[in-house]
Amino acid sequence: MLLIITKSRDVTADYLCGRLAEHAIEFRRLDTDGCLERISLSYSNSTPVLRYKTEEWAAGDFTHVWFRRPLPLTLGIEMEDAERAHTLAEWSEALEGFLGHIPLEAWMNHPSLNVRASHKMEQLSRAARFGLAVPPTIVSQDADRVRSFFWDECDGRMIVKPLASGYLERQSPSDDTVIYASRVSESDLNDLGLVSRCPTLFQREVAKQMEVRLCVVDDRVAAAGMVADEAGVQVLDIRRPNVRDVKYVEVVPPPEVESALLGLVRSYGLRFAAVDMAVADDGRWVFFEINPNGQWAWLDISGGFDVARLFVQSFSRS
Amino acid sequence: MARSTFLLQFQEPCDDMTSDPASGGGAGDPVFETITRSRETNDQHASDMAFLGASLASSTWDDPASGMGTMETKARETTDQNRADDALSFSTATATREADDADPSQRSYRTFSW
Repeated sequence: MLLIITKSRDVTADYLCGRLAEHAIEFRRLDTDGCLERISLSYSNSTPVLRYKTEEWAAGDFTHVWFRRPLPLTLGIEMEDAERAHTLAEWSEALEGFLGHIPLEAWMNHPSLNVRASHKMEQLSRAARFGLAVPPTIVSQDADRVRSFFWDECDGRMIVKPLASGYLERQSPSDDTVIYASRVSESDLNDLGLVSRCPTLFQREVAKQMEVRLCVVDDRVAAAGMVADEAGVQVLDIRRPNVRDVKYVEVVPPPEVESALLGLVRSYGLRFAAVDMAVADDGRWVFFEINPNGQWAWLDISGGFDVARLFVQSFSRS
Repeated sequence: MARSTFLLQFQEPCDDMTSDPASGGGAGDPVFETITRSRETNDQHASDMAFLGASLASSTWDDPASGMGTMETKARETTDQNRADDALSFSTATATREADDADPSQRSYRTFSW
């Protein structure tokens, strides 16, 4: 049995649930933002039990867990704020106590492993150890160091990008801003003094034929090439603007790249990862980052791929 | 416009299309909601962390002002420290505030991770 931990409004979960149903793969979906009125939990004799309507589930009944971006629990009972927070914490601990009985290997992915795999600098170091090509990269607070990197190691073709998230949420969504991977111009160097305020990631710009999102699901890899050119040159960040005008192409990674990628993903204990790479102008496959709980369904919905098939195959295994 | 860090100079308005149906997308549009950039998808790390250490109930993680990983040792922080332990698969033997503060190196590592 597959347990899906997600939220009520998750298009990717909706999409995959439909595909799983088509293949008669049994699953139970736990929407953490609305499940508490429908489930109950108990524990005795070292055995936790999760109940849903007339069903009873032991942790061992779940051979797979798909952890798909759940939200915090919510409780539909009138309560004072502090008592509500306390009760939700108790609920969470009970639920996590149940889930804690499910071995890590069953999770796609266990969130603790996602967190461990989410540090961009460490990803680059590790990818290089696995033999993947990575762009020359520095993280620095030293303006002189960045300037010399720009001229000496990047030949004036350098990008800057966020280490964590590029999305800045403000009180009103209409005021939200975003930071893409951005080209640093020579005139931008005048403001390099600001790097002293925060470690900042700089990377040599990769002249590329296309970007590739590779979805690793257990021991299989699906690769989606994405081409978006501007005056004959591939754009710097495929996400700008909202992946409109992107053409999708099927690509097959070279065997040595696929092998290194599988080794890299396994080294984190992950069963799933969305990996960003590019095919450089010289044909090399260059690694950028791993997104351990990254997006993939848009490749199927918009790009005509069938990444869902890999999930179906994995969750079919007993 | 002058920004407070070098990176912030490169921020630009988020054309999330929510107010522009003509653009063919926005909240509720399946393609938009499954691409790699939107308020909805910004929660990747937060969601990973939300599960850990009784924090499924927490609403602090999606509040930018909550400041993940403060070094403060005030009493209210203790529960968060336990969550951080779980996040890093450390021992959960930090049930008391005293134990929590006993190992500053552990605390600083938590700060690094949260």
